[in-house]
Amino acid sequence: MMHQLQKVYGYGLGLVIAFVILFVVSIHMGTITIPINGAIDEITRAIGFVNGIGAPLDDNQRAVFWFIRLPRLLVGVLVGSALATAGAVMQGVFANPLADPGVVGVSSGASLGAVIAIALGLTSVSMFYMPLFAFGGAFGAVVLIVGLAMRDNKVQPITLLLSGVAVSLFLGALTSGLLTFMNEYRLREFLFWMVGGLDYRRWEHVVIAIGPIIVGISVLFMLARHLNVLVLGDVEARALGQSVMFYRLLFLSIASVITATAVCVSGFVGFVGLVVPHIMRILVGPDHRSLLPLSALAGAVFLVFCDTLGRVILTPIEIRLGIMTALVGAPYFLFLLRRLRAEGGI
Amino acid sequence: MTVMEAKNVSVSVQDRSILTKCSLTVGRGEFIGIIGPNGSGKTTFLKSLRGIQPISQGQIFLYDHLLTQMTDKTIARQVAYMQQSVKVGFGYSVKDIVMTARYPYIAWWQNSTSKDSQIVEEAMRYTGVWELREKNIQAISGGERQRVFLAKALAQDTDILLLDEPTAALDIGYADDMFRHCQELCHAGKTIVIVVHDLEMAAKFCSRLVLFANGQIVADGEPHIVMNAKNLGKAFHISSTVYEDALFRQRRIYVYPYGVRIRQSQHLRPGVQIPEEASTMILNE
Repeated sequence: MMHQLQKVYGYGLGLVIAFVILFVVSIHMGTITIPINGAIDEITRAIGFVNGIGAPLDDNQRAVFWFIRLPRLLVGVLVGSALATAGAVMQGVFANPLADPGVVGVSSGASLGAVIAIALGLTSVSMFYMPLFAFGGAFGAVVLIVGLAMRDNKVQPITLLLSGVAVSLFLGALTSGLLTFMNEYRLREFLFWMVGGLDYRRWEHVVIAIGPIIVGISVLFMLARHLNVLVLGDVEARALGQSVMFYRLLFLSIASVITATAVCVSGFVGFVGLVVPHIMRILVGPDHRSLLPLSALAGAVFLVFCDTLGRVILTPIEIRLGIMTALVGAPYFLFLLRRLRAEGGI
Repeated sequence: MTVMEAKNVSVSVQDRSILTKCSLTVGRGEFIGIIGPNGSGKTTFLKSLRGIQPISQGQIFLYDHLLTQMTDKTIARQVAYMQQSVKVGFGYSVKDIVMTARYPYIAWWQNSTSKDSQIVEEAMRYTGVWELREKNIQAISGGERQRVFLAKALAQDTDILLLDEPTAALDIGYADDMFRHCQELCHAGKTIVIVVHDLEMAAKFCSRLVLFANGQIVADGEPHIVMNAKNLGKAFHISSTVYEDALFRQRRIYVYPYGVRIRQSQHLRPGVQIPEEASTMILNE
């Protein structure tokens, strides 16, 4: 037992250190370099040291620091931890290591919502329409899929999975249908949204995302123990006195809400929800009480890492986040599939 | 003292009748073996007793309370249910799995305490799996696994244990151990209802047998009363001789090949005692 705890704290500490390093690197690097002691100066000033500690930044650097790098970083942290935690939860709810919030239609619903917002020309009216429509689409899709899968007030994971696939394909067709009628400029806008990214993220995005994601993740952390029982299957969980349906739907809805929130501020960023919980499960075991917090931390680290890499690898050209996560995530995913097969798994 | 009672329980799923009017009274300290052919409703009956299987008719009482009026959590503190096999999707440690047994005792916002750990350790030591506590549940052998799940049922700290074929696919030594553990627990005051496939094993250890056939209880009583050729013929459609072996005075079953007409005198060596029912069964053939 001690051994296991040491492992959890060890990896936790490692991730925190990695996070701090990435934080500094991510702030520092880019088209305009921001000296680290300058950033420290700004932060210490902001939290109340009148003179600050370190060397002051010039106006240009200050603007980049406060209005470009910092909100971008914070959105990245929120999105990364939300996607990874939601992924871990979905894999638990479906007792399937290959599940992610996409299986209950979050991504297809959000895409349709976004494309409707673009088609109606609302994106040029206010920057809030697109996230709003994406969120609405995601939520609507989840409700539709869960509703279709429900029978006698019961939702079986396998039925949910199948109705999720069917509804996602249907919504995908609607999305493609709408796209065929759009002009090039709008198509491009949609494409940028589809390939998620953190560029031009402002404090408004932080404000949109911070509430639902922080609250959602905290509730999931608190209830993690229940997920350990849910994973054992309906009969086992009921025999232990768990209200299986209540917890299954609760976990599904919280995971969907935080994913939808993440998708609406960053666009569609794949592979984080699938890959990060996986690595963490291999490293610290499947106990959700430690798996969820560590996945959240690792998700934030992974996302900020991919984003920073995408920004600096070909400066001044930027590789979008959605592409970077897939480029890093997909090879790992394939490796994982092969390994599962070798172990006699899926 | 009656701890559980099933009154005229019927179960049908999609118009197919699985159980018809099954009644059973379970007394404290009894070790009841449920026997019967495949698909005769044994598991369904056990699930109904736990309240996991919705029943279409009849009533089930747990200490004079109607089961349907109790919450799952309240029932879980009094009745533990062990499935035939549980598929664990992820590589939890053995101790994590046994720890889930404490679920009904912990309020939804709380976490397990050192008292829970202590109960879990005791249960695991009792079934001899404490040494495996750090091991991956997916990596241990079938025999170890069943003992882990028995430990889990015990850690639930209930008076009543419902076990669904805990010895299925176990080596003879493990199976024997499992039954001895159960017998010991019943002597200590627990009540166990167990679904058993191995009839001789059931007759050897259980204090009472309940024989199912086609969703009905066809015999209920002490092993020497239930286990006879006539009952087995009715339930399993076999012709057999049930006899007591000379060395250990235990019930043995010899099943004759299907369709073969047997005469008692030709096939049995002198000195083998045949119960009356068996001989009539054989002669009727």
